[in-house]
Amino acid sequence: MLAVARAQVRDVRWLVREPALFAVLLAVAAFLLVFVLLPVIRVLAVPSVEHWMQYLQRGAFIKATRNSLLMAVLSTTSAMSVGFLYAYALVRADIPGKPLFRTVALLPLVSPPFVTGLATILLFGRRGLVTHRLLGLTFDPYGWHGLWFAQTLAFFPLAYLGVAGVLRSISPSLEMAAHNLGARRWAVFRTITVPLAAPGIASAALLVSILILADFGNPMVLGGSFYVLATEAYLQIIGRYNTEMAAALCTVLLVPALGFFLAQRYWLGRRAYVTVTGQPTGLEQRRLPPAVRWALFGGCLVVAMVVASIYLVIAVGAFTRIWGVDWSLTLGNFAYTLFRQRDLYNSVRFGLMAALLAAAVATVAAYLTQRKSFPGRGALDFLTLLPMVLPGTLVGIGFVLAFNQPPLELAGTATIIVMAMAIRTLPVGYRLAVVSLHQIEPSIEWASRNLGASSLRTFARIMLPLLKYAFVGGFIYTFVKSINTLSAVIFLVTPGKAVASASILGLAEQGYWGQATALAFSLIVVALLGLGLLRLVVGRRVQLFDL
Amino acid sequence: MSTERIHVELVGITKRFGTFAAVNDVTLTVPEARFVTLLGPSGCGKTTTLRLVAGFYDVDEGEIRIDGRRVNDVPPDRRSTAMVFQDFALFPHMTVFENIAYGLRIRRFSQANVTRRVEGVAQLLGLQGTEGKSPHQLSGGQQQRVALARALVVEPEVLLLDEPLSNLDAKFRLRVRTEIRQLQQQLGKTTIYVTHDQEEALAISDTIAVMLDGRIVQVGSPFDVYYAPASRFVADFVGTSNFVEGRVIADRDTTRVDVGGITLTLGPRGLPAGARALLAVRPEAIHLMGPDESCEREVENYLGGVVNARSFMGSRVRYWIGAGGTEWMVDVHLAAPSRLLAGEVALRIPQERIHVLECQEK
Repeated sequence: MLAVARAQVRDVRWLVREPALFAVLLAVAAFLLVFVLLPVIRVLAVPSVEHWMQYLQRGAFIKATRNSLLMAVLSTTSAMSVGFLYAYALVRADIPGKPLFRTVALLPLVSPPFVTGLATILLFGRRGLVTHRLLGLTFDPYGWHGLWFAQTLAFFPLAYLGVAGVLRSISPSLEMAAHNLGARRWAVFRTITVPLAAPGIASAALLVSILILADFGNPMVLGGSFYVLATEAYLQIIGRYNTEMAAALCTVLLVPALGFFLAQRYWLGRRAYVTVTGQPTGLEQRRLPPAVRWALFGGCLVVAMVVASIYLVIAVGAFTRIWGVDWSLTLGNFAYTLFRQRDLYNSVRFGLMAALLAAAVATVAAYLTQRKSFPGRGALDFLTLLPMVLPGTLVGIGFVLAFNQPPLELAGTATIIVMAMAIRTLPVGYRLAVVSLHQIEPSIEWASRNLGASSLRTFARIMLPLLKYAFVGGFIYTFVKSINTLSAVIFLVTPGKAVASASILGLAEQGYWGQATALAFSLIVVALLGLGLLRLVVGRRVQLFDL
Repeated sequence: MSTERIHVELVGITKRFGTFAAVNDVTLTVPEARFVTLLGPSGCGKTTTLRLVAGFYDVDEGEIRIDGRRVNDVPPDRRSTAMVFQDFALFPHMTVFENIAYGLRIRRFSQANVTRRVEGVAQLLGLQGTEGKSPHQLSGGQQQRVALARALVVEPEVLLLDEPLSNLDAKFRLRVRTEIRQLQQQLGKTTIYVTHDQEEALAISDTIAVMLDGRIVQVGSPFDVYYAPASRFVADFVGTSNFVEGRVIADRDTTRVDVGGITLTLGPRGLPAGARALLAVRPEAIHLMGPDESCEREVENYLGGVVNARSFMGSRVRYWIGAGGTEWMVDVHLAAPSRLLAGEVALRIPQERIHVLECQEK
């Protein structure tokens, strides 16, 4: 007992000896408590028993729940199938055009999430390019089928990234060993590749499914009368001012997300398969037979062409006078979005502030959890990673609930939007920093301390420079995601503080396709410029979006 | 010797990665039941050669024959060349039993047969009791045995071992390599072994093929390779050598070499006079004498010298002796600490222990 207590005292002695670092720790902890935990708690606390009874009794809510689940199951299945095809082809098959395929898969990740929905309407809507103009059909994409199509395209890149990571982590020597023992291709795929990849793929599928479950943009744009929980929650707030009911609906979304998060932490904590391999072997995979290779190539080509056509339509729409009516070209849409409105400017400004904040908090938090011991270290790690699975709608409503009264009256300010943006991408920046920290030997830090530098000075002079690539990676990631985010900020924007993603939705709802696509197009260009800058600054030292 | 059946034959095989020839025109024959080691520094092509035999890579030129049959186009799963991988490559999602049984199940052995054989090989390798465990629950040594069991149980034509000991700790390595050798002899299994550890190669092999830059530079028994290295590289890579270069002086029926100031007598070798010769002498071949040890100055290859440095290495002491304008490494087995030498000493190099590496006529 005494020994344990003594060890604990020894662990926290640095708190006293390093007051500056202690202050930093307190600041990070306060930030996470106020901007991550508090909004969640507010959402959980607001609905009363009465609201829960209503949830269980009202047909509309039950239906929205069923729709959400249906959409999650359908879209996850299709997105994972496409993602697996894509990943297997890009990781394992020797096919031409890989860089191009990778770039195409990147687009849905760096553009506003509802762009696929927007393009679906432009292609297949009542005035759609394909349905109306080319085929002369009157087709209605609004509803579950159009949404399914759009969500598959929007989320397959995430599935692809997950599966590709899993496939790459399988040591080639395992498959070679199976061949060596007499197993043919199909037997190796069945007995080695699939069982080894299964846990990782299941985990990726779960992540994709909770993101689809909670997605707001596409159901809003394309759902029509097909309401899901996220859009129903939005209607409750915007249409009926029923924040309590909206909070209840968000809580329903939170349950599977939190379940997944906790299960994953548990799973990673006691990982089932420890890879038994030593150093990399330099062994390559066996080449696939030509028939399989070309079939994979064909599949990828179809997917890539569909995605490319989506973005082509957005680009064309941005320069078209009135979609479906007047096809003449114009720059007028840009004149409106770029010069008459401040939305795009606001998006970039808020995005940059959020990026700086998120990257800083993530880097410092990673340093603290990985290199220092203090009571509540696990909780700090938990709170930093938690936003990964928080539905955007929940963050938005949580912020509205938590910051609408003194002492934290932030409603209507830029701060609240920046905070919401920063919170949502915190986990990615944190992970980048943690990975970087694992590559820095602790002895480097000891050397600095040994030569007389204080803990804070060591962090600033030694660790920070070594973590700069992770910092820049987190910065750019937050920026790209923040300018595109919709579900959280839509509850927080006010007339003076409008951001582009929310405005696109408004423009699309009113049928201003030209201006909506021009704004979306501008956002994509800004995001790609940001990624280009990342590549310029850090080269290939930080991997974002598998580029 | 000539009646031995040739089991594996590499005939002029070349493997290129891009323009780089990782294996360059390698020819090697492996007789049945023999233990042949590919020895060389990293990047010399030894592992690539092994993978070519297993069929993981396709050869660009030349032919690989197993039992006289050309196997260039036979896929790895049809070659019967079970390999023990450097990283063991145990399937992490299977138990030890399932790992060992894998090859048998692929060959559709009956369940009873699988169990009997796996138990047999588990007993042979002392793995009883671990069958239900997962590979990551085993020690490195046990994992290595599972990898060996998994390869042996399918009764391959040829056993391939790719640095199987490199992931084990040093002390353990000695024991396991002896066990591998005993097992190989007991089973009479034709084996190709890859290592960069010269001591391991000397201890374990029937034949050593020393490789450098994708080529085989010498093939021979461990004794040949150690005592009659074919080149300076082999002499330096296998063990340690003193190298001296000089000019051949023909002196009646004995060969002498002038190595800058001193003359070494080699005995009858028949080297052409005036040629430049590169000589190698192992450190343990040189006799070292203290100043008090009287010795006939007339004795051949007797050099006076000075101890520059010495290093105690447990069973022996290594001296660096400056003599005749060269620094000589000399290993001496030490009887007692009081016998440590310093200051002025004398060397004697027996003529039969001087190995001629190269001899070029002007």
